[in-house]
Amino acid sequence: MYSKITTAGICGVDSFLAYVEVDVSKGMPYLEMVGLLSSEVREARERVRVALKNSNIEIKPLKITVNISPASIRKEGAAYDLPIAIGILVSLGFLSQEMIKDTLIIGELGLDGRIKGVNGVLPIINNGKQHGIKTVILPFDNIAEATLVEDIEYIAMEYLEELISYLTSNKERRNFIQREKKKIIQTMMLEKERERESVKEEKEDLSDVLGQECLKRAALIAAAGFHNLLIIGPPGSGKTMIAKRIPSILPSLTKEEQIEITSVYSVAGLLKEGEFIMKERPYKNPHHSITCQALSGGGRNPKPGILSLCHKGVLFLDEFPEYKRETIECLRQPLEEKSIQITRCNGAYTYPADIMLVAAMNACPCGYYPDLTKCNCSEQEIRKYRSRISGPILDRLDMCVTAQKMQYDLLSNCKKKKGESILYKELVEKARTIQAKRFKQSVTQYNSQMTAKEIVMFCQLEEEVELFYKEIFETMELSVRAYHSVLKVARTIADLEEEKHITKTHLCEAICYKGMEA
Amino acid sequence: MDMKKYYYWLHRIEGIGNQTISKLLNYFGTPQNIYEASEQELLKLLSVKQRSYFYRSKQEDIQKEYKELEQKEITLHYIGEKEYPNRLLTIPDPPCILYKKGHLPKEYQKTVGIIGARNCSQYGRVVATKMGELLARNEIIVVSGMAKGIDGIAQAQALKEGGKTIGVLGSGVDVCYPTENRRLFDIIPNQGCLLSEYPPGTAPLAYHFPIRNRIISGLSDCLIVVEAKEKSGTSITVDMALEQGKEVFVIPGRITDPISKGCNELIKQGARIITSMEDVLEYLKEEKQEVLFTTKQEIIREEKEKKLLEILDYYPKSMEQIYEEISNEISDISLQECYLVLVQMNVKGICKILSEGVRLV
Repeated sequence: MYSKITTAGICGVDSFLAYVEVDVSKGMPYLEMVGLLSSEVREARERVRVALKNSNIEIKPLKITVNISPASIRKEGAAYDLPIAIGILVSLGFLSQEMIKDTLIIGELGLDGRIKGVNGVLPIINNGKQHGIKTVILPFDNIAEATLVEDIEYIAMEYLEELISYLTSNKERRNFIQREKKKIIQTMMLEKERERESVKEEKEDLSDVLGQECLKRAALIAAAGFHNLLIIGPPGSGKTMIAKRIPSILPSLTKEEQIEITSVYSVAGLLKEGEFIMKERPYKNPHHSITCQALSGGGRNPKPGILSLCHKGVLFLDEFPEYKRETIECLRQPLEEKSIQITRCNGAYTYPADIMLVAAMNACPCGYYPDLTKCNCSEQEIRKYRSRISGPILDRLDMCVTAQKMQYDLLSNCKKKKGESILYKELVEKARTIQAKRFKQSVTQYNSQMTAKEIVMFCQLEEEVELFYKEIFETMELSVRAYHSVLKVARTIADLEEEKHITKTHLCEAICYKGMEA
Repeated sequence: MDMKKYYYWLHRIEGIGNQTISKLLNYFGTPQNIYEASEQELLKLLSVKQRSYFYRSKQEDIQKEYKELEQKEITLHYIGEKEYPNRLLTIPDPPCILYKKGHLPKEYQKTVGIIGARNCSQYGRVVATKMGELLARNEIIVVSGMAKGIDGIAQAQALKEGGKTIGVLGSGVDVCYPTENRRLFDIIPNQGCLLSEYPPGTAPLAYHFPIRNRIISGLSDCLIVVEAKEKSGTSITVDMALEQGKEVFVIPGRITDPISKGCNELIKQGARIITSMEDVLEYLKEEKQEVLFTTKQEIIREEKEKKLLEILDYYPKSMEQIYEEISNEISDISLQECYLVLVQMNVKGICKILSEGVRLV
């Protein structure tokens, strides 16, 4: 008999629907699998056979043919085990085809019949819902993540036997089981929430950084407009500390953003056990030995890289010039397009990468310039050190700020404020609301993403200010890119003060943050 | 064949340097005679190796190569020619042949050589800039080596002020060295000239530079040394200038700066010290064209700017530090206000905002 089961695969962070077709006929007893399968999918043959046996299902010696379509896409991962098992059961008449109508099935099987968790559940269910799926059968381990998608029914079981008995029982019994399950899930989620809350208290706060008013102010502006930031300063001046605390002043994530981030982590298999949603802005600081592939994503079976894991969050690159040139250069496309495209022999994959780049560097190879009592670097050495960062990358860093080594009396005298992050976050959120209103009809979300056209539209200067800017532009020999980034940053500063027009003060501040010249 | 072509041919022969050329010219009179010299005559004057190079060079197509020279707008001057700079005739071992790109200024125009360290300090930079500016405004020609540091800075400033400058190179006049002075290399032929005693295409070899220094001092009426270490190329130039009987002016430096040690040592030995920018003008008996520098204090009226001026220095200070120091002076100043004043000061040309901080100009 023939049966057809709906399941799904992952491609990039997107999912596609796949169908497992099973046919049982008389002939040499054999389990044949076709449909452009990778070796781990092919191995499902043994897993399924033994798992069924250990779930007290006796398979008669028949010829079983399994096909996973579409045959044009390569199938990877172990999530096809469960749909194959269910397909065989339907073909053999243990279950009715009616039971699994409009149902999407995913899951890996152990030899003992245990249903194990898989990666990428969230995008799979999201995609299924769009294609009219009403019920999802999935591993119990993945249930927390799956509940993010509403208006869809879940059957989450731990063992294959349990699942079969559920599918074969009558409606009343099924409802009873579902109610029980829901209770268990709810208590589990509450527990996780409590755990998370207890961890939250130890979170980093901007007030941990003593002094550094300029740096904090720059961080505030960068966060408000989602501008990429370059911090230059001597070793031990708090560059890393500030960068680490920038996520704490970024606005809280919206539900859609949370789901987007969770999708990436789900595909990468990085969701911690039982953790179902990413509520915090991601922050990553890869070491400077990182390769291009690790940053952008890749591998034979592509996985999201650090860039995508920072989606909607902060990517901090400390000792910026120490990164390999090609690594820095591969930031170009994602910083511009907010996504990253990887092409491998199996196809092209697109991963989201809407990041805020915070880079930190010393002013010279020894680190202490312009402190000439400590720095002995020649002008050429300094120039060489800086030239490791190319113009196009500097183009994309709207703001640049210097950090200063702290003096002793400042360290000891500094009154420790508390909860600065919350204060700053409120300001940032206010500025973001203004921006959201401004870019209602555009794909642009933040001031940093403004196109040249939008700059002309939203960064109009009053006549007097315009004349002043012209004077500055000429005396300071600004480049065209500096001209634009100064205006963008000035717009954000004005937004922070809830001013409609950019004033001289806003403009001057923005100029002081003008980026490093190539 | 034109006389210049003979000179060009003579100069291009491998193994025959400036001194051999003068020896040959003394004997034969003109390069044409040398070209047509008999084997026996040459036997007395040239070594075996030099003779083999000599005969080989006769087979080269000198006409064609000379044409290429003209295409590159390079002119050749030989000693004794009307266009050959008179100032060089009085020095020991003058170059027999000079290659030129651009136009030599008129002989009556005053010339001043500015030399100094390649790896100069901010102080040296400021002084070299001011000197270049001062000389250019008084229509005095700046002679220098177009090197990194003091040389290039002084020349660049002179050009910026519309003045004329002569760059004496240690390579061929069509070879740009150092490459970072590419802009100077391109502009100088329009506002003065590039000179070299080496044929076009010659690479900038280390031993060329001390030798060409005699041309720098030779072309100058007096020499200004801005910054020099104890033993350096600059001191070689100074020795040559003294040998040529030129006056040497020295900019004093702090005694703790290793980069000013050579300068201070020269002063100790009796070189003329510069204590005001106009000292050199007085020596050259030039009438001062105008009052050149208004001090910074004069263009600043506002209190905040005054305070900031006291805080700023010639090396970049970070915003953080500036803000910290200014808030000690004026307690209620906001960071934004501080930024505003700094940008205004930048526009006035008092300070410069850089990525690593702010410094005085």
